[in-house]
Amino acid sequence: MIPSPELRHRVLAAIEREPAPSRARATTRTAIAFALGFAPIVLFVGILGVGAGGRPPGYVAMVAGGWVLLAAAATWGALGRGTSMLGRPRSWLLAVALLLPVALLGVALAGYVPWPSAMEIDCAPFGHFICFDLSSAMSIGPLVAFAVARRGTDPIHPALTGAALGGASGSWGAVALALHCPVSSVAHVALGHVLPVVFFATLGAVIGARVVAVRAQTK
Amino acid sequence: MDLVVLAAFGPLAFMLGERERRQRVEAQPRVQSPWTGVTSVRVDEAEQSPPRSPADAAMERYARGDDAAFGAIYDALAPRLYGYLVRQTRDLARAEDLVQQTLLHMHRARGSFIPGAQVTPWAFAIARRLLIDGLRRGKREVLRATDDEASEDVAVATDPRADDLVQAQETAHRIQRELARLPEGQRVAFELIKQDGLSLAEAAEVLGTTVAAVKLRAHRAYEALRAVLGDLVDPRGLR
Repeated sequence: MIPSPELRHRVLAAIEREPAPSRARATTRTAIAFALGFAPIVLFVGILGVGAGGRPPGYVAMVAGGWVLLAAAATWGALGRGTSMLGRPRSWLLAVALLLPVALLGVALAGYVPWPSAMEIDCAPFGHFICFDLSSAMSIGPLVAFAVARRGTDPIHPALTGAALGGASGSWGAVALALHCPVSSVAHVALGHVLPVVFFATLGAVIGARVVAVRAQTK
Repeated sequence: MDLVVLAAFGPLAFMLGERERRQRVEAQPRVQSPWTGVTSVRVDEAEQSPPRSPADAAMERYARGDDAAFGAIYDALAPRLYGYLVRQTRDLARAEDLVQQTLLHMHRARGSFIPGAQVTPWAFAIARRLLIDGLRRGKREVLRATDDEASEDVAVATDPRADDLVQAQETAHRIQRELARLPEGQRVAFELIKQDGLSLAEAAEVLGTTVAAVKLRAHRAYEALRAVLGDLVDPRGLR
């Protein structure tokens, strides 16, 4: 079946009215979005510095290093699309969204094996909320940057993509806090540092369904 | 509406029925048996990994900034998208609107086009998403519409005689009814592969699933159709 000749004219006229950036310009825009999105984390770490507090330095290095690797892997898995314009497979995104918090907590728990004293460093329950809030604040920038980079690009499973992106952004917030927070008890790591990752994965799913999704235009 | 149905299912109808006209149908070079490949569990490498198409190359040029390449993208994709969307909506105006929206989405995403990616599954996935999104919003419910005044504008690929046309219409209606009874997953997989000409890999991408799952769905659709349309099936097409 052949569409009417007028359709070709309409489409070509529409794209002339609405210029879209080429790959080079789009890459520049994405780079700017990333620079702005990650600026709060860089400033946070830059101003406050890396502090072990009462925690064993080896434990800090292991947890922060492991979390950086996990955050980078999650970002690659969630943000990248491989060689397909339709993004990662559903199972891949689901694994990133669900397993990332478990893996982050697993690295922290593994750190207790060589440094069991880290488990004893606790704080008042209010401290969990402070770290939850700070970690969430650090995660907003990366989430916005990821959403800008993947806006309107997923016609298959945008909510899952959003969840994976949210988890990845949450993990970068967790990395920032891991470099500075002096508390390392299981409860604090779970509630103050890992729970925000779960929260951002959920938030990402909601945002993804609206921002990452390909949506029909309203007239 | 009849001509819309015929346009949508006509090629399938011609291939399914009228054993006595088989020779003439087979003589048409662009028509392919709808059953070919579905019955076979084996899938050759070429179908799983189709080579880069002119549309892929044009999209790559367009992503790099060659604005003139969009015409080639349109020419390669618009007729296929239009056929798919007419079949899904039974509404020519709606189908054209969705084709336009699909191509505009591709235009807006030109900067994020991945070098080496395939355009066809991407375009079909966008079209399918826009279709589903529009239906969910309840703006224009067009699926399974019963009539369409604009159907006279449909360009039918074949040029049958009047009696052939009537018989093909009846067969097309029957196929349409049986296809509509299939589970959606099976029906869509079957239509993408057999009517829209996507490879198994492309259909799997559009549906967000694996090649094996698409192959299974299409095979089950084929078996279900064969069970109810057995009298129309050309036995030579099954082998």
